[in-house]
Amino acid sequence: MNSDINVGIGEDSIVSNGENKLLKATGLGSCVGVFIYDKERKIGGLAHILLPRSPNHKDKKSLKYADVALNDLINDLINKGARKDNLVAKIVGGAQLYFVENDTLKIGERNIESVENILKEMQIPILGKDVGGNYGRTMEAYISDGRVRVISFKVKEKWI
Amino acid sequence: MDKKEMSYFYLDAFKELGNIGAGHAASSLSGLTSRSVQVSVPEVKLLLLNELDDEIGGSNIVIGNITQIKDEMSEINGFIYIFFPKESAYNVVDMLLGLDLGTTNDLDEMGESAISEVCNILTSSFCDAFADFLGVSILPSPPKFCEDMSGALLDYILAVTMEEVPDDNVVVFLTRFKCVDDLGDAGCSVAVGDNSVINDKEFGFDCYLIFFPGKSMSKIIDLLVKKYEYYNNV
Repeated sequence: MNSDINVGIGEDSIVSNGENKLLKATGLGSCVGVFIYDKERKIGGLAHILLPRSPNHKDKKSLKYADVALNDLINDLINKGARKDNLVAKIVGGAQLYFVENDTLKIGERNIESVENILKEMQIPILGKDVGGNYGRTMEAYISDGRVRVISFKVKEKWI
Repeated sequence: MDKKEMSYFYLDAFKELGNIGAGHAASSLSGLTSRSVQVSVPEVKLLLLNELDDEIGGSNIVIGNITQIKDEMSEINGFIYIFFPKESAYNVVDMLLGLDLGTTNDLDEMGESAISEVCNILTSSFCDAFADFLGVSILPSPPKFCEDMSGALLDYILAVTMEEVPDDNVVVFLTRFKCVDDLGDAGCSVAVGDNSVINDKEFGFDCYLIFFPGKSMSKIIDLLVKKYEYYNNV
């Protein structure tokens, strides 16, 4: 691997195998990183999601929301040659780093729930996940074999 | 005031506001650690989400406090996020506990509570000065101690702020404190605005204080305008 693409909050990025790059989302706390890829055609994309749902569905085009970002990512993947039936997903993040008083403030949990629902609606199976807990994570997605490396400060590194 | 005057006025007022808060926090920090502390010129920035990540996010491990501000009386809300990069935090613990610099290389309960206390004191100094300048009271909620990736800690603040103000920009008051202390001598100085990072051979520290006003930014502007009008008898 010769270079990384760092996907910041509210961004998404797509890489195909020929490019020989890895997709990375650093410092995922309550944010969720969703990696969707087509194993056959070797093309995949990563979205870094901050919030579960956009407030007014249609007019907001901001990729920080799960619904908008996933829609955008999947459309882009299909436009770039992925087949809808081949797509699978891996999700990382959605932790709660410190105590909050109120359930509506459990943003990590709400993010995971929302991402899982949206993927289910779109009939994209979730092949692996490392979510929840009380620590931050960094994820690196490898397009060549679809593996995702999860690094955190409290727990040993993990491959999903 | 016409529009141009107005925007200069805001810029100046925000700087002054940040300055007062940061100045008070810096003198507390200096007093606690018995070191001279350099304060960067406080910046008020309108940052895009991804810029924020470059500025203070990422996967570096930091140690600090996050304090939520909720004051229904003054309508000032938001978050104060104070953090030390890991190595800096260890040095601060040594300074506070009177240990030889370089002794601490992991945080035990004592270390945690020492850092937490420093952050509390900085938070209250900042809040006091800030509130005083605006002529309101600001009550911080109990701070949350945290040790994790800087970007991960930021997520929650951003999520809450963005749920209130659905925008891709976020306003921050950002200040950096720095102390370089190569042999443990009290006197130290570095050029202000120097961006170099403390290296392992030096026993100084680096500290960031960031205030996220969120939706109360408009309330802060109102208060500043009132203050201006009062002093200029408009």
